Amino acid sequence: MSDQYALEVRSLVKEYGKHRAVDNLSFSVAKGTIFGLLGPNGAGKTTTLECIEGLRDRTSGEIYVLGIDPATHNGALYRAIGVQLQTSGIPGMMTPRDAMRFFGRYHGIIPDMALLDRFGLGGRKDVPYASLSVGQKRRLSLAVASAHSPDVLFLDEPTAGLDVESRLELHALIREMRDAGRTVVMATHDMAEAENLCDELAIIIGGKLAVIGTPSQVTAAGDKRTTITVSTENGSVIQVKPRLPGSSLVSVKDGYVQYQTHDPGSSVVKLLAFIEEQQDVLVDLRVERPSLEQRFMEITKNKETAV
Amino acid sequence: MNGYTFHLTYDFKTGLRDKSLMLMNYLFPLAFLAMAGLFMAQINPFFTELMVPGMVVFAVMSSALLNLSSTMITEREAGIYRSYRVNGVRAVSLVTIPVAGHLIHAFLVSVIITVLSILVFGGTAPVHWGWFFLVFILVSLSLSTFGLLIGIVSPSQRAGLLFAQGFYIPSVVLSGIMVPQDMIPENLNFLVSLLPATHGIRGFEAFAMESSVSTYAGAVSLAVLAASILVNLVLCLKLFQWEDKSEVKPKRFMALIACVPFILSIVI
Repeated sequence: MSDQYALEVRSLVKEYGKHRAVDNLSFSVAKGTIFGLLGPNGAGKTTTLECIEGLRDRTSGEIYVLGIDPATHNGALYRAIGVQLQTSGIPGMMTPRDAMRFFGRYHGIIPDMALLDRFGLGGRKDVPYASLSVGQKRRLSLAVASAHSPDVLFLDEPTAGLDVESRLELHALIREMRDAGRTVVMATHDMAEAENLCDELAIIIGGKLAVIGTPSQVTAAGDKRTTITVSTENGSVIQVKPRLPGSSLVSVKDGYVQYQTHDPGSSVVKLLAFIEEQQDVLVDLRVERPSLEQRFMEITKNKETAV
Repeated sequence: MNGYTFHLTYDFKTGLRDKSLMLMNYLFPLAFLAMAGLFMAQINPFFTELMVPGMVVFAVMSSALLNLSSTMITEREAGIYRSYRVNGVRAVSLVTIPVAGHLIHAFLVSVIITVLSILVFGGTAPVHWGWFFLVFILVSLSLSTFGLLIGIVSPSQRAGLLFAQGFYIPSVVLSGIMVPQDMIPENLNFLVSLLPATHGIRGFEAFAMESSVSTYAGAVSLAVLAASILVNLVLCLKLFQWEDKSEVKPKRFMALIACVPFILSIVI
C-alpha cells in the first residue's frame, strides 16, 4: 500500500451467484484528486463502490482505503471516509439540522451548521427531509458525508436528477473539497460531468476496466478525428460540398455542413479560402476535438462488437 | 451527548412528533381504553379487576407489534439503514434504541392508562406497585423485542403485517386482556401459552394484583418473559439486515427459536 494513494483496488472480483458483476478490476486513486468511475448502466460501478465502501463482500481481490481493508475494519473505515450513496435515505421527519447533529454525534464531532449554508440549505435547516426537493436531498446527503471532514469522499451519481443550476453548484462544491486536499471518488454516467470534474477516470464496461487515465488521455486514445462544423450566408458550402484534405463529409443539416478530419489546420484554411473564393460570408465555424462522450460511445461499441 | 444517546433522544421525540407513531403509541390504546371502560365493564363484571393490567398490556402490545415492526421494515426499505451504516451506526444501536424508545413511550401511556382506569372507569388498583412496575418492564421488553424481530425477518410490509397480526389478534382475544384467563377453553392452552401477552397478564395477576393465580405460575411467566427478551435480542442481532437486497439470505426460520421459552413454559 503506497502512501501516495488514497485508494488501491487490486484484481477485484465480485460475483452474484453465477453472474460476475466486477471482473478483475485494478486501479489506484492518488490523494487530493477527483477520480471518476464511468460506465453504462449495469457496468459494475455501484458494485465496485459498494465493495470499496464495505457494503458488499468481495469475492476476491484486495482493497485498501487509506490503508484500511473495508472487509475487516468497518468501524475505522467509516471514520475516515464520507459516503453519499446512490440509493439511501434519511428518516422523513429528520430536518437537515437534526441530520447534521445525528450523524455528527456518531462521528464524534459537533457539526458546523454553517456547512448547510454553504450547501445551499441555509433556509431549509428545519424543514423535514421528506419535504426537501431532490436537489436539496442530494446536497444534504453531501453535507452529511463531508461534515466530519473525511479524507476520502465516495459519491455515487451525485448529480442524478438535479437541474442544471444545482448540478453546477454541486460541481463547484466537489472541486472545493478537492482543493481542500480531499480525495473524491465518484461514479457517474454523465460524460460531460466526468470530463469537467475528474482529474482521472476509469471506464468500466461489463465489470471490466476498459480504459483509465486523465480525461484528455482517455479521449486522445481513441478516434483522433476533429469535427469541423460550418455555416455560410449564401450556403455555398452546402451547395458545393468542397473536398478538404484528410476529411470526410459527415452531415448536412439545418444550414450546417459537418466534416471529420485528421488534419484540422489544413482543412480550416482550405475551407476559409473556398468561402472567400465563392464570395460568401462565414456565419459560424466550430472546430471540436472528440469529446469524452464520443470516446465512451466508441469504447462501448467496440466492446459490444467484441462480445 | 454521544451518538447513541442523541439517537435515543431523537427516536423518542420522533415517537411524539410523527402522527402515525403517536396514533399507535398513545391515541389508539387510549381510545380502546375509553371503549372498554364504557362498555366492557357492563358486559363482563370481572373486567374492572383486569382493566389496569389488561389495558397496559394492550397498549404495550399494540405499539410493539404493529409499530416497531412496520417502522423497521419501512426504514430498511427506504435505504435509511444504509445511510446509518456508512456513518458508523452499528446494528446493536438499531436494535436496542427502538426497544428503549418503546419502553419510554409504553411507560408514559401506561401511567395515563393506569390513572384513567382507576379514577375514571373504576378499575382495580394494583396492590404491589413495585411488582407492577417490574412486570411492566418485562412484558414491555419481551413484546418490543418480539415486534422488532418480526420487522427484521419480514421480507416486506405485507409479510410483516401478517406476522404481527398473527400474534396480535389472538393476544387480544385469548391472553386475558378482555376475558379472564380461567375462562379460556382448556384446549386452547397451548396456543395461549405461546403468546407473550398471556405471561404478562399472568405475571401482573400473580404479583401485582390480588388474584387466584399462583405465585409459581406467575414466576414461571416472568422467567419466560425474561428468557424471551434475551432470546429475542440475540436473534435480532444475529438476523439483522442492513438492506432488503442482501446477498446473504437471512435464515428467517431461526426466528422460530423465539418460541422456545414459551414452549418450555408449557412443559414446566
